[in-house]
Amino acid sequence: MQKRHFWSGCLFVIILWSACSTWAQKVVRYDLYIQDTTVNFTGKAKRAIAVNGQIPMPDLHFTEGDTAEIWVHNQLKESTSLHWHGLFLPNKEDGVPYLTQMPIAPGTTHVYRFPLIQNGTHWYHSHSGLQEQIGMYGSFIIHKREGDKTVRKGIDDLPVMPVILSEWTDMKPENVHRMLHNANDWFALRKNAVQSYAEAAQEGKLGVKFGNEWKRMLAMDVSDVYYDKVLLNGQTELQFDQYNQQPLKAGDKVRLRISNGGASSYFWLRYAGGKITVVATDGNDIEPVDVDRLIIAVSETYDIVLTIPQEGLSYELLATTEDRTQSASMYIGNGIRQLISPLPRLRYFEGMKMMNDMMKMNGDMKDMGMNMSLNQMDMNMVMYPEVMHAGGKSQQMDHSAHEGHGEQPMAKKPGIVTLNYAMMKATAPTTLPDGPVRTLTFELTGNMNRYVWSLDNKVVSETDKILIRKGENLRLVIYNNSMMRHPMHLHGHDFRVLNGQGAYAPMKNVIDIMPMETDTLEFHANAEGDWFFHCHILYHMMSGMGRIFSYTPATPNPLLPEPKKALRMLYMDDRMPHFMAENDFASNGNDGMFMLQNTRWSLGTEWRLGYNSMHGYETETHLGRYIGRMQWLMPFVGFDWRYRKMGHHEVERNLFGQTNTKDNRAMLSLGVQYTLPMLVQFQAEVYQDGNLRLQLMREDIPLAKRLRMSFMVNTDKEYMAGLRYIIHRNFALSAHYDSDMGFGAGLTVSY
Amino acid sequence: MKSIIKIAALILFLLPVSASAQQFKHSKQVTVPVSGNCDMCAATIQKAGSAKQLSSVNWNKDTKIATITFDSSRTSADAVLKKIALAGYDNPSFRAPDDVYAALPGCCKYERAVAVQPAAQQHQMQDHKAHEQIQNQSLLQPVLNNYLAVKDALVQSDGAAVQQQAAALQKTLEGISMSSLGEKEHMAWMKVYEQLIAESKVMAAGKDVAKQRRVFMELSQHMYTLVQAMELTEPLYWQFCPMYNNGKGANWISKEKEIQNPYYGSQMLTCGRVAATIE
Repeated sequence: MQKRHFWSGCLFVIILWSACSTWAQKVVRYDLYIQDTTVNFTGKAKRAIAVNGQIPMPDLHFTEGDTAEIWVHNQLKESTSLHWHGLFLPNKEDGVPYLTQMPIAPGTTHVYRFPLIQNGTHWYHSHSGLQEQIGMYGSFIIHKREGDKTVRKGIDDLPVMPVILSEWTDMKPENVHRMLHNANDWFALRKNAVQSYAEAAQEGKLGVKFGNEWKRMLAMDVSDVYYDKVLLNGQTELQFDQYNQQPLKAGDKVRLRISNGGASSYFWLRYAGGKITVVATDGNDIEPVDVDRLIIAVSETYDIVLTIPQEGLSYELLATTEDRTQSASMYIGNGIRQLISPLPRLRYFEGMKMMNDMMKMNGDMKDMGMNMSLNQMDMNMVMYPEVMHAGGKSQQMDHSAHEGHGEQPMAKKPGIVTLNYAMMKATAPTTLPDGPVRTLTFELTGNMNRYVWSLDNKVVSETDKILIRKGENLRLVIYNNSMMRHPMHLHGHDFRVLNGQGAYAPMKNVIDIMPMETDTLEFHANAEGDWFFHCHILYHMMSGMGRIFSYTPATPNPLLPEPKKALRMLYMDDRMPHFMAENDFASNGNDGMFMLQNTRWSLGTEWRLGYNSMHGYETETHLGRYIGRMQWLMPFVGFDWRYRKMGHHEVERNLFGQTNTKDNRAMLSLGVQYTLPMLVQFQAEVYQDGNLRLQLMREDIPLAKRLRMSFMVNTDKEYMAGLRYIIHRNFALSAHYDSDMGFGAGLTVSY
Repeated sequence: MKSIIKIAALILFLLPVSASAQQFKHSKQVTVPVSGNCDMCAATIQKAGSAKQLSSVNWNKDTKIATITFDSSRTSADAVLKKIALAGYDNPSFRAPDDVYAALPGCCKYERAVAVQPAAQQHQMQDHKAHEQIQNQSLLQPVLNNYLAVKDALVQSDGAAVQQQAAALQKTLEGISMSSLGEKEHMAWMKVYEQLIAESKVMAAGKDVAKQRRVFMELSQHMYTLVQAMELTEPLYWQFCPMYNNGKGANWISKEKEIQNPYYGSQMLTCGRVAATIE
């Protein structure tokens, strides 16, 4: 009896193996030549990276069962890598530099080779530095085998087009990253989203603005970066009018395989021709679901089916960034292009009010017992005029409607159906194989003011790898306690999103988690090696928002001869200090500062240099470490040097009766800085001679869109007040009064 | 005097010329038919298509022809026509969104070259929506029904009945699963559900009608926020009694247009007026 089983088992294995090998015999080779290029999306020529001469990178097509063989020829002057997003593959092919391989050095060729054991819409991108922002993204499509029993009539046989979404900025991405870390509000200015006091007053929301600053928040937007252009397959407009030389006509359905290759933008997708039928996500089929719109998180993929309703018209599919500042269009069909109304501008102060309500004084979010999950409840909805206030009314009218009790009865408008994760149902049961279950909980944490993004308030370089064992079922419970949404991506595995669909929970490899949401995921540990789990917003990832899952016992990776050294290089990403500098060339002297900061440390020097010795010269240098999640507290050591020529025997006396001469004074100090409500910086500093100085200071009070105010007052009886009018990213007109140097006006140059 | 008139005439003469012959760096001009009716249309079309140093549009109301001048190095005729369509005006390249066209002033509602065919599928979609509405409605409808029962008990000035109905309302409120509500309802629900529960609890705590009425005033305001977000099958009336609350007045919601004052009951049953109709 036993023996018969054994033989039939063997036979089965042999058949399976031969079947596999007949499919697997097909090796599909692509050669990718990666080169520097110059592009012109906005009228200015800028550097970008092109692969085989194009942006985005070429579409790669395969059939399940093929072996992919991709030759990467790095013709850049810097190293690179390619990550195959969403694919199950051997760890050394995953394309994360310093984690699964060494970076592909300039002038060399690297071959990725792996069997394709799944199908669906995926994509690929550089995992090196910020290269993804400037062109290194492309569609990776794996078709189902012919005769595959999962082939769906009316979906898998439709005219199809891969579409990869992305954004373009004329700024260097390194500079974008640097500016984000320095809480520069230039992007908000470009988006007209500064949310200044004047704008608040205009909308009658002054109290909201005060409340916001009282809780020590900077004005928030739904996204961080201002982009100049939004692209669909590298273009702002795209037409899908024929398939296999056959023009598309009324009644035809088409399928779009959409990937979000944007570095930091979520996109709303809306269709002028009616409902959008969502049929797959992250390369996994789901039961078709009809929606009016969906938001595609950074790095997600969705397959959607659209119908062409009428002859003589082609219908717009509009992709709009979440902040609604940019969009790109695709037209489906032939004829006059039927447009869809653009999304109206966000009501920022409504969002600010909501944030005030949701945030506790200690920086934690409170969800008021709503148990939010799975994008079912979009809190940003308070900012959407199209949902909260049915169209047609002007802003003015909205205001009047707000007076008096309650809100104006809304015009009758059928509800807009927005896709959320609870609506997704797998086409087949996705229950995990048996195995020991282990639960890991993560809290997504962040600090907008200093642009620190982390898990459990620790960045990648501050943590050890998370050890997992093959055969385990890992359950991840993730709570977002930060103010921004995060698309969390797991390399090399799909996870089940526990969404109330029981055995039919959808499989994904990216899940967008909104502020205050808790989502539960589970996956079967069925691989080997080290796998990155991180927020896919490029600038969050580079700030260290991630973890590494590492299979134990560890298997050596032939592409990483010195894994320890390599890991240190990986940690460099989030340890990197960011530089900023500023100088006010004023009529009464030079005021300026420079600062080097990273996740926890800050080194800064301020100077005030008069034009004569009566005005004096002084510099203060502080080296400090930020404490706590919100980083409101920073103890520091300092060094002061000042020289000021004063009258004979003249001494300065501070509020405590302590004296100093300021005459060629060099002092070491110990101090602490704390951010008070209203974002006022309080500093207490003791010098080596026993002198104590207390100081209150605030810079960049947003009075109006381009107007900033600052003030400083301290117990040395020094004070300063100034105004700045921003004219450019790097320039501002400034005027200030200083107790040492008097009134001055000039030009502030900042970097 | 004469010279002033001369200068004025000269300015008047020059103005339209300088406006129409606006020059751009790489200037290019095309003429395109654009639908529209009147001077108001002309103003909208020209404003929509014009941008500093980018493009200018001159639309002739009689010929329905737009002359588009643009900087060909920075924009295209199509980009300008798209802006015009987004302002509500069909042209050979783009058809305006239906909701934008519908919002045009009456005099501007030109006849559209391409009409939307009532597709069979669209009917289906509407049916689907109607079906959804019924589903949505059933979720908060019990809350409304309980509220109306509380109100009716107050009209009868029956403290014990109020207590009973308020307890039922509280139970219904606590049983609502927020996540199954529609977007709009969900938002409204979030704003008021805590107060609603607290208020119904207070009303269910005793039989004192005077006390119940004071709470009912708050309860009604919060219910009002909620019903405005609901999909209703029949209209409700937001009614107002100017006397209650020391002459400051108070509101309630009713299914009937006729006044049945819950704040005074039989004392002045028909005192009050309809402040708003909720549909």
